[in-house]
Amino acid sequence: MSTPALLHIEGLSVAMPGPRGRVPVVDGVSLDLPEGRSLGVVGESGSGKTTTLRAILGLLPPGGRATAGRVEFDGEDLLRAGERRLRQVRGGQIGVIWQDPQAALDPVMRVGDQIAEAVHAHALSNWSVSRRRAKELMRLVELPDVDRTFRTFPHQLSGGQRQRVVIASAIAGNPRLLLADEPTTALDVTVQDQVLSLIGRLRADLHVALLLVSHDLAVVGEACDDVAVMYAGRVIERGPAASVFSAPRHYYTVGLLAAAPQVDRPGVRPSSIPGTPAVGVVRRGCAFAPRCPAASEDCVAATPQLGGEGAHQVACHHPLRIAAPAVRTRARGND
Amino acid sequence: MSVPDTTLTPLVAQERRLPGVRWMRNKTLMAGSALLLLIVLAVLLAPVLAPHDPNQQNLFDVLAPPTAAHPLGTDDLGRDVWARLLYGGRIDLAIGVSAVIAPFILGSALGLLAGYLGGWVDAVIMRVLEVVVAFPFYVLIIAVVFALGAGVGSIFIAITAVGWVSYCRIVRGEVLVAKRLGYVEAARAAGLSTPRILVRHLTPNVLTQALIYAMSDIVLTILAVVTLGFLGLGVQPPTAEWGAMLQSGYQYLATDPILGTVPGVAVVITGLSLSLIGDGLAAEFGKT
Amino acid sequence: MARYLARRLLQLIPVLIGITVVVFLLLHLVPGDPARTLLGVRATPARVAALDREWGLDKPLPVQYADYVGRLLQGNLGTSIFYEAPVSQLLATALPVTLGMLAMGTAFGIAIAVPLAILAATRAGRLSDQLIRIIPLVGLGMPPFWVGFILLIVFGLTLSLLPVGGYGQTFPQHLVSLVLPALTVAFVMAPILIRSMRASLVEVLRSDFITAARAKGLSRWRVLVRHGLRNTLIPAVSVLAVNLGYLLGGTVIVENVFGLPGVGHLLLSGIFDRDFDVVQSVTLVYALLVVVINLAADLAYARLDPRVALAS
Repeated sequence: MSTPALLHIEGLSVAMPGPRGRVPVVDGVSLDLPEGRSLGVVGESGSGKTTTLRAILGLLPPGGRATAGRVEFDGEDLLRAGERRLRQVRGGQIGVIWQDPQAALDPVMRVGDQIAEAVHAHALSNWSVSRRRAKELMRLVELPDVDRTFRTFPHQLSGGQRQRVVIASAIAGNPRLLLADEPTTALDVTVQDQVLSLIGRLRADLHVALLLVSHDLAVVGEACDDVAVMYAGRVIERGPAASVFSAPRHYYTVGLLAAAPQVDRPGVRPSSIPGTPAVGVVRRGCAFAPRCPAASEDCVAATPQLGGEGAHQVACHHPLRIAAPAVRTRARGND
Repeated sequence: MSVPDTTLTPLVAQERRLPGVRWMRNKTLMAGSALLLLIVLAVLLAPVLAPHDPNQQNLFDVLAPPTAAHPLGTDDLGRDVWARLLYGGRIDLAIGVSAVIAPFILGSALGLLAGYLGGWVDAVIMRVLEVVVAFPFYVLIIAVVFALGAGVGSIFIAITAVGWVSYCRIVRGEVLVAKRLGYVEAARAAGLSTPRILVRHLTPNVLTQALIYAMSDIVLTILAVVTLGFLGLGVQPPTAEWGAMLQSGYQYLATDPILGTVPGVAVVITGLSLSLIGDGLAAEFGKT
Repeated sequence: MARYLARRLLQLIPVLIGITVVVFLLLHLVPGDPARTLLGVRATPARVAALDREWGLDKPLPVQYADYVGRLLQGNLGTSIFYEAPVSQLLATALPVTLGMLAMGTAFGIAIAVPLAILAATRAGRLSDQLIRIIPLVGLGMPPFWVGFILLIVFGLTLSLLPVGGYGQTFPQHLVSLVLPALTVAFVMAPILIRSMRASLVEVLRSDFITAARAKGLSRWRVLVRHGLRNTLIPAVSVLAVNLGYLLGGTVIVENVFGLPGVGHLLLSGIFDRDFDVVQSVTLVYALLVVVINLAADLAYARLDPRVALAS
């Protein structure tokens, strides 16, 4: 059969502190990411996608806790690993690219040193070797004038340059997996493309797997082999990106795609999904039922589980069987 | 034709709940209030709790250790320390609280003007503020009291002259924030006059912060009164007052440490209660 | 940096002028005629008038002020009636004592406050944090001189470890006699520092770049010290500077308690001896000290925080 996935998340549930005790934010999430492939996790804010990413490395905000499930990286359950083991993995085999590069960098430390310390944490070398390696990485991420840029502070760089610094830090430990939390959201549109293609190039050259979290379907469509759609803390549809985007089976996914501005049909107005997004996890039943045109009593009574033939799965009591009207995004596999 | 009164709710509206309920759920505030209440009751009930006359000297029984008759012993003139502590507390608390009123009003008014009017008014007020702030707190107080002559009146004048700056800064800061938030502009666009805007809309919001600061200012003021008393520049003897007690306590530190310790403890406990109240209020009305 | 310094100095001029005005007016606030006060029972209208003329007190106020500033710029700080010596000379011997106590006190204060703040911030919400947070609540209500009393009782009298007063003759004796006063300053300073550093560190540790640093697999030490502390200490410099005015004032009475021949002692004896020139000039010096310390703090801040624009 297929080789075991590099990253195998099963039944992950996370709870975060709220005004009256802990509330579940992620409920029974299962994802698979094989070596060298890329998986996009899409959803609106509040869907739990960022929390899922942070839970992988045990970097939840204070008070947050994984309450159930396993996060297997190369066979090892990271949720049960000790802090010391996690520190080895963080920045080493798993690198992280953050959403806001301005916030992710220490404002009072030179950017070169910030990359160098990422190298140093995972290499048995001295500082001058680490610094030289940091400069190599800076060249790899196409930062200009490396020697001078090494000594600059984050506020002296542009948003795109800062993100390149973050990417350089992320790959400093020769990772096998990159976690990217909305890596382009905080950037200008023109820069988004550059950063995305940089990530793509690095992925290919370094043969790294990528888990990319985003609310932007276009970004996911361009960068990811597979996609998982999250709503209210659960995965409601997953499969190859081409399949999910061209033939979505969950009404929420249909709605998401319809709501995205159409690149090749500029006249068409994006439609919006009626109702307001669910906040947090709904205990029983389908969280999308209040807004779903096909909802029935089943939907409220029983929580739908992921199911279906083949790689494309959906969690719905009445999933769409016929392909929805062709909605084109820039998905891989489409032209 | 008069302008219709469009009651503008400030951008950050305070919830309208029963004030009592809120009070009770804030543990810090409760603890501080309870402690302060205890202290106030103690000094008010001084005649009951300490039957001795605080000024009654007894030169046959000086610097006595604690006994049943004198729970904290006697001082260098044979006076009952416990009584002097309680009666002295009245003076320090009364001055501490009342001396804060004038700086509060003066500072807040100047802060409102500086923040709201801006321009040269603001520039002048801020320059004056910078000059006053350049002098160490105690140094200026001592110097002013020296210049005016020792006594309670001088204390009030000195505290006012020095203490207004903090209120001015806080209120001015709040006004500037409020201006940026835009509801001042909205009020002006609706045609409300300047004094009305200042009084009805700005004041409730900005003064909350000044009030919170006032708690710690009372502590500072009590410390100033006690310090002046210690130096003999404040409340004049033979009136019982914690600072004066500490002055005689200092001289007899080796033989009778109680005298030099206990009034300070009283100050600390009073300060603690006020700080708790201040912290509790800050948690309630805080700026997050 | 030089341009920044020049700009700050320029901004200081109105404040410096204001300080001299206040100090000048302060002594003219004294009700009654200073000459009459000095002469006391020997005052006759003739003698008072003569003294007035000698001191230039019969001239209009602005002229007197101009004379005063002129004298200041020449370095003339007046003469002490009591000590019969130029005030500047008295200050020259007194200043090192006060500055020494202040420096030592600041060092002690930081040594006490920083570890406690770190402990409280890293264990935020837990028992050790709650206990440490009581310190500022209690500490802010402690009269500085009373803290000196307690230290005197504990260390000086009961344990007989350290001298209870005076300054000593030799340099080592100076240092030893400064210890208790410095500790007093430290105990007054520490609560303020603990409170602000703890709050600042808690907030810094919640920042995204701290999470990002952890995600790089850095050791806890490196994250806390290299990233967390560095970002906390910079605003702490400002906090220290802002509170220095209050602390300097506290040293006045602390010197009194420990019998240190510093500037505060000079001020107080000037007050009790009604030595006008001394009081006036010492007050001025205190204000100048505050201004200088604040300026130094600003420069340090600009140096430490790369985000501060040095050139306009």
